[in-house]
Amino acid sequence: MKNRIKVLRAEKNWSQAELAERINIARQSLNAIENGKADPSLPLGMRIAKVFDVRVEDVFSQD
Amino acid sequence: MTYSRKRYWFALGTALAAALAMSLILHPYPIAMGMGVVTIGGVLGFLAYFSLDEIQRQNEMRAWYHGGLLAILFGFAPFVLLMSNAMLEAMASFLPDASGMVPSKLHSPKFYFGLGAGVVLGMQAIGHFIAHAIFKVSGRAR
Repeated sequence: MKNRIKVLRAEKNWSQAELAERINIARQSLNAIENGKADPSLPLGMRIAKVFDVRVEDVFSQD
Repeated sequence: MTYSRKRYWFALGTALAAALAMSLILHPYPIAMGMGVVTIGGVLGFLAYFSLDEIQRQNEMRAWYHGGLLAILFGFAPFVLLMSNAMLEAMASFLPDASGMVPSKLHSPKFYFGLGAGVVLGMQAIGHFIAHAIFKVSGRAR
């Protein structure tokens, strides 16, 4: 699964640590999601979309 | 339960400290010691596990699963099956001559049961650290 977290994070000028704190996960976990090494659950995916104020499909898409 | 790094380290540290303290204080009473360590270790272990976020939980589950496989492959198989087979003569001293099957020496059956369970869990715990190391070296760590 591809994601645009890095781009969206850059637009908001947030560090990985800052975003991780906002969605209440470890920075290493966010790094794994951002690099496509791990897929988040639907609730976490929705939480990520919510902090960016976009739809889930604007953050995640199929390969 | 939500992710909390502080709660995770608190639970893990307290579990290890409690296990160590119980081993030192209760060692004359192995059954009480075993039950205490398992109860406190279990409760605090669950607390630690549920203090992780979902990706960390997935990682831990993966590492414990592969650690269990490593323990069976490199721990259980050679040490329990092959070594016990090779040591049949030495183990014969633990059995009464006539029946040949009932342990008659040193400790109660509960002690040996606890030892067996402890060795298996210990092997899996070591295997889980090895699995983490393998994931890291192979670039599959998350």
